[in-house]
Amino acid sequence: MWQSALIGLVQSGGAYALLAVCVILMYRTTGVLNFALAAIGVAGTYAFSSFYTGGMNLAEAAIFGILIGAAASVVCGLIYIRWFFDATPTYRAGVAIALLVGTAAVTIRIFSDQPREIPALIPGSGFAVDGVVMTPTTIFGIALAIVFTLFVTQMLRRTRRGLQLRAISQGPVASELLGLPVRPLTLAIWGGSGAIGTIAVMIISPGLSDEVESISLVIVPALAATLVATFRRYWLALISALVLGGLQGLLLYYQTLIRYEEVIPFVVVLGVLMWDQRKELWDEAR
Amino acid sequence: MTQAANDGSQSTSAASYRSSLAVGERYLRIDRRNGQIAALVAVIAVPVVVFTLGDYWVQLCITGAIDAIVLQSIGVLADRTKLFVLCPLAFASIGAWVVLQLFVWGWPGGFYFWLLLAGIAGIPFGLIMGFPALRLRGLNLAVITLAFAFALDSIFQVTPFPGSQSYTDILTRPSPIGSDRAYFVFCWIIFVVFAVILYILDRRPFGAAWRIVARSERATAAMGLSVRGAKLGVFVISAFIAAISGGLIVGQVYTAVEANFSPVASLVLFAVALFVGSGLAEGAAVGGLLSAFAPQVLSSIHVPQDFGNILFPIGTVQVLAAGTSASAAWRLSFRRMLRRRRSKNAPAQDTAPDMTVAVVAASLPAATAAAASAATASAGAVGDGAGTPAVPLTGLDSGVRPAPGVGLVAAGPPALRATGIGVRFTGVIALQDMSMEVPAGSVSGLIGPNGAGKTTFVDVVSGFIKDYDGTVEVAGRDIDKLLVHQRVRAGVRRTFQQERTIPELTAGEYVRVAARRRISMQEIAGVLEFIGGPSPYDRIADIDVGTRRLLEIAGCIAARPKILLLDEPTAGLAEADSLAVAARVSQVPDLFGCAVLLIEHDMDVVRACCSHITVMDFGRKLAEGRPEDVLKMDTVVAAYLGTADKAAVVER
Repeated sequence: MWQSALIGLVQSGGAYALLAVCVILMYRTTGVLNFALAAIGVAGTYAFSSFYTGGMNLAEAAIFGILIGAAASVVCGLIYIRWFFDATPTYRAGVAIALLVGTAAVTIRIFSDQPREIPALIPGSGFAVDGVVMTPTTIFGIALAIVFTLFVTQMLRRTRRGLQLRAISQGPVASELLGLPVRPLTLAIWGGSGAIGTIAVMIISPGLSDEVESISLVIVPALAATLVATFRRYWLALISALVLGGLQGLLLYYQTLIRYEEVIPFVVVLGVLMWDQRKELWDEAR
Repeated sequence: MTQAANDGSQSTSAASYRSSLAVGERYLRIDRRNGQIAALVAVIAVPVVVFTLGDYWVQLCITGAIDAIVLQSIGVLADRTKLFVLCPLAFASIGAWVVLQLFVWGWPGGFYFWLLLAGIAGIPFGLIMGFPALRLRGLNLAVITLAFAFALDSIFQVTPFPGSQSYTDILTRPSPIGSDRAYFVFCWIIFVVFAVILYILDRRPFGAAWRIVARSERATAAMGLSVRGAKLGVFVISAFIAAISGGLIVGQVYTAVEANFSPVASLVLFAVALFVGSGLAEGAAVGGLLSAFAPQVLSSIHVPQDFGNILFPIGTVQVLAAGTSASAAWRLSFRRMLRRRRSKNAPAQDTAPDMTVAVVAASLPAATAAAASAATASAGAVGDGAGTPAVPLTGLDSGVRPAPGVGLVAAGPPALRATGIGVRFTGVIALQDMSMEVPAGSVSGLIGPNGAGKTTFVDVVSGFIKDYDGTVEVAGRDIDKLLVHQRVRAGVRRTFQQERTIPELTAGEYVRVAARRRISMQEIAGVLEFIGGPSPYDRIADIDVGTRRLLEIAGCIAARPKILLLDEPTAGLAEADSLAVAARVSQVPDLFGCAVLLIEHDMDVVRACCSHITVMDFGRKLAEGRPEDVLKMDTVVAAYLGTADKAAVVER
């Protein structure tokens, strides 16, 4: 039974974790709950696969794909900076939802929604441990997630840039008046997140159906993990994401239930949050 | 100030108040009449137009009408309560499932009945989403509803809708709505019925509660509205409407597949809802039109259909940047355009009724009216010829102070009695053995240096702090077990240090909601004029902070509570204005029959209107008695100044 859980964890957990940590980073620095992160990643991933089938070698195609994802993300960031610089989190989330729909539509327009082969990011058949196959890509995914989480937590806590970013998230206008380079830093975060999001989607997409819209919805389990982590705790998000992947894999064990794996994020989130928020606080609860 | 000058300033301010009232009243009437005419025209014109169209277009119109209904269900939540619920089509899929299952099982009653059951079946799912909403807000709710949409969609991906696999047994519509045109009219009627119901609910306290709960839960509870009820109610309505739309989809295409209800389609409709502002009926209608016809229009100008999904988000982003939805902007320019026409035709009339405090006093119960006339007689007021009691309404610039101690005599149990109140936050003792009484019909003061625990005490009495020792009685009744909104209904009203009025409402609407009883516009205007507040037709968003605080007081007074707790009402006001507020506050028990507990730092205000004060320091009662006695005590001076040096106290 634990093998099924491990399969799930390995296959999806790494990608969920990357997305989840990225979402928290974006939320705590730019104030945007980025529903569109996976959709941006899909754009980069489709670019990657188009370049690859067009003749580029894997590494180059991957790099270009990541750059496209980062660029698309920066464009979204520019929209925020231009019109929503000091809007409320609710408004920003509304824009993110619109961007999710729009980005998916633009991706379909440019790359068409035809079935396509998304190559594994790191080729190789990997090895099997007790019946659980670990491909290089998925191992890379989990490793990258751990490294990324470490990087983000240390950067925010110990570096000057991290302090500046935390200041910006609290009050962009006030930070600007203090002379902080708010806009370049914000765009840097958007760009970086776009890159990470693209890598995450590249890792998870070989196993998924090909529709742009359904891959874009991979953001949902990641959001569930960020909710459990109260939009604040990076390591908790990492672990929750891995656990979510594992729980989904667990359903493999119960053959009939595997079809309901998408229900897991909702049930988990509902349970955790209802327990967490047992006491009502006036206007202060999350 | 001489009496003559008094009268002069009183009559100018009263006159200008009355004329602004007249303007507001006229515009309200004009807008309402125009709106009703326009709505009637639209309701009749749309089916007439659709009847002239070809079959293919009628099908699109049906889709548009059903989309409009889905947008209504989103708008109830997103527009009014600012709750982002991203799973409307998930509720719709429940409705569709119910209709199909009832058909397959061969239940009696027919399509209409199954449709109604479908709506009812959506309600428990609305509650399932509503309960997290009680504790989560904003983004958390958005995430959890998206996860729900995702989950439900995956279930329907593997479990087909009932009857969708069979090709022999297909649902048919009842014959009156068998034809497409007739079915469109059916869907349109349902849309109109929902629009009317939502319009009516908006005018009720329940509807106002939605908009208030979006802004502040404290304010909602402090007005006696149940936060839980408002939120759950709104989810129930939204789920019901969305589930009915799912049933209508089944009626349109005779079956249902998962693709009809995908999460991304929910998100697209959500984006459209934000763009058009589907809280307003015309917004939902136009949104339905757009989402149904956009692909068609695009392909007719040789633009690929999926451009629609690129254009809607652009519209949404633009609307969110502008801060107002499309339909809100249309409604505003429509009103302005029609107002100009109407005012050219109709002669200007001063329709404002007579708005002196006499009107207010006339509506009081007999006992308090008698006390009022006794009090005003002793204060040497000028009565008008009809013999009804009239209190000199001092303008904000008059500086006249009434005699304190007016209205002390009132029989019955104390309006408020707190015994042995103790409150502990982790490690900090905020209140210790605090006991005090506010006699009925009096104005009492609660003073003390910052951090003494005054607001904490008010929080305990009003119910915002639940864990406390001791008992609180209001008019002889023990209220310890009551929740905030229950205490409000038991007669406790309070204001906040930071005003919590609702910018989306007008002043009159705010007072009406706060009053929690049938109250005429006359009385609302009377209360507002008494307190020196704004015209009832002024939007709160346009009112300055100082006046908003007066409005908050007006709202509390209009409710005729037993005890009114005012938390630093004159903070931030100029001296003359503070004294004017003091004058008003001292008249409140006589005119409105309630006792007042006033937290204040301004000693002039306290001396002007309080007959009895209690001093607190470090969570305990330090002293109590008449203001002139207490303010001279050494302990009180020391608490404020850190020294008992009486020479340091400036006497006025």
